[in-house]
Amino acid sequence: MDPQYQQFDLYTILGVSPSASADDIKSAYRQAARRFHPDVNSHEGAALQFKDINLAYEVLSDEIQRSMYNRILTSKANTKRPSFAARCVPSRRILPVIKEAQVMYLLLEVAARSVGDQASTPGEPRKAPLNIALVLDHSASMRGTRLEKVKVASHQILSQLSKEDRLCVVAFSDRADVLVKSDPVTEPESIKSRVNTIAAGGGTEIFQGLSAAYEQVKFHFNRKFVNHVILITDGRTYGDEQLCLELADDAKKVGISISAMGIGDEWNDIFLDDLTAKTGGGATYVNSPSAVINFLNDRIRTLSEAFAERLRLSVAPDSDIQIESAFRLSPSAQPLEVTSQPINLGALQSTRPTRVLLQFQMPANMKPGFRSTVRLDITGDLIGESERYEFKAIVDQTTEISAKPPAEEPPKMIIDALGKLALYRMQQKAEKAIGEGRIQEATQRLENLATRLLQAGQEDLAHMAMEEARRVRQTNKLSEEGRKTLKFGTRSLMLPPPDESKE
Amino acid sequence: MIICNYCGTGNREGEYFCDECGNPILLALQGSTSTSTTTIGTQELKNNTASAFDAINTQIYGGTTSLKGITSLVLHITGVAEPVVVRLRAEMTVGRADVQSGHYPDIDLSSYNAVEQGISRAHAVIQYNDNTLTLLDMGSVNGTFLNGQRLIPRQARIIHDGDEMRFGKLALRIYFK
Repeated sequence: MDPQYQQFDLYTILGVSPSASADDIKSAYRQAARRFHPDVNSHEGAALQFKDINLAYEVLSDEIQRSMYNRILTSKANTKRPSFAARCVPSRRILPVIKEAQVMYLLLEVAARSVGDQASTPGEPRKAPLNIALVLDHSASMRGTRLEKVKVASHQILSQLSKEDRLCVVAFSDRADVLVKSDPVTEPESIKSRVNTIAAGGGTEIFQGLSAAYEQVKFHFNRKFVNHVILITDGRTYGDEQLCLELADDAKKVGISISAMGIGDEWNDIFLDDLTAKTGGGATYVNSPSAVINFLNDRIRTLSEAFAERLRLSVAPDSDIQIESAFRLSPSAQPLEVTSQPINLGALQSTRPTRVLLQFQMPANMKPGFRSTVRLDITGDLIGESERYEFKAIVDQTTEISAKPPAEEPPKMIIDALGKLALYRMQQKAEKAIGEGRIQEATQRLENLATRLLQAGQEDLAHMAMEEARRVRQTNKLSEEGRKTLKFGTRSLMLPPPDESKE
Repeated sequence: MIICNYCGTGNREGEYFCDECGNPILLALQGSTSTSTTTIGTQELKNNTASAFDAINTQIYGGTTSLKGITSLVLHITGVAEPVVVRLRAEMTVGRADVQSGHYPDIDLSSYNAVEQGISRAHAVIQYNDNTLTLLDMGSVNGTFLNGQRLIPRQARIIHDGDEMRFGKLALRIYFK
């Protein structure tokens, strides 16, 4: 038996109870095969999950292997381990029978469960030790307030770190200097004084700095730690994007996440979005240097509240259903790529659930009655365990179809998220229209966006959208500041209000 | 298919916000019906959608789009006491008459200072089909506006009872009668 599978609950994977008879197990497997076998279901997520189902069946269908596995289960039941729970809320519980395709949204919520905590409520905050690197851009354009604020921010986070944590600081322009080698934080004063020596000058070559820091974190990689690289830059890197993305692929494999913050208007947001999303991290835009301080403090705090790392989601819809999009709403807002599975969701925090909004297209002419719709597999590495400890949560969603469904209101959380997602998408469409030279359409979209933002009470963003609409009409393009403010502004609307973390 | 009441775009059943303009789609449509297109009155809208949409501070304004039993349109031009009544027809052109070229629109605005107000000869068209009324800008110089938003030329927008339309600088409200 593959030792990795000893960790998983094979009964849950197959969807049977531990007391199931051999016949039950066989029929559960047949049913799963009819839904997810690569011959009938072309979704990438289905192929991934069917592999798991096959392995579970291999063990459970064999008397000897099953009794061996049961013994492992019993011994595990005595040593309680932390885990997480997943649940799904659909936009509609009962779908109508119609002659056309229709849309269904699912809100997936993954929440941490501490040891001894049977309820699905989030556990107590626990502090995971950090193995992190700061990658600081000190190119000529950082001169003045920007660099000063970055220094202040770096000083401040030291008060959050202890000798349990490892910190590495790399300053880069067109070359990289490792200012502080990855070491336990025992002498914060000496780190401060070394950070203070950074002076602005030179160009921006992100790969130089990123790879120097990444090597340090990778060298000290430890499953008990949160392993993370934070990049702060204000510039555009030239020619080394591909190298950076390859590094991110490697980081994803090893289990190191990368997050980035862009200051000002010149940095390449699409590139940094790609880079960080690969690893489950995220990119943020700050338009004022002083916001750097808040961002960095916040980032360190959320990292240390990590409960599980490398949370991965695979989505296996039934063969006649399509997955159209996915968007992470919490802990940070980020569009997710559904074409490559599993989807990296980043770290799961102990105090705040991870939420993902999934959009599906349901087929036309569905028959009344209950039907299976999608199976979701959420796997993550729990932090603080001595060996690699993966945990899997499975959601198998069923939906009722009816010719006369009652009128129902979608859950407020879904409507709320969709309303804000609509704003983000409007911004994206306006940007696309400009890119393709459809100026009139772009101005119209920006004006629509402004109206909707105003209705949502976002006066500053609405004002910005109006101004950009005017600018587009005159100059046929957006200002970089406006574009980034709108993109990251509409995106961050989807974040839950801060007090919700204490729900 | 659910038609967005703001921009007329068809959205799939199950959507809650218009893919085109981002406005909320009326939830009352989604539920007991399996018909392809539905129009809805103001009353239903208030009853069924208020609670969900209050949460996102969305104001739904504008009256019905339903033309059931409607025979004519009443145009209240800003600053003009006497309303203009137009009989409902499949296509009503809006503009100013030009005697020389023999151009006479169905809704002739030339007696309201049309040139100074920036009204083109063939300014816009109001179309009546599928039991809804749409407004179409014909590529006018100074633009056509519906509830303050400039229309994209030759892209139809659905008109609600009580909507404000603007041709150039000339503003008016339209009522179904």
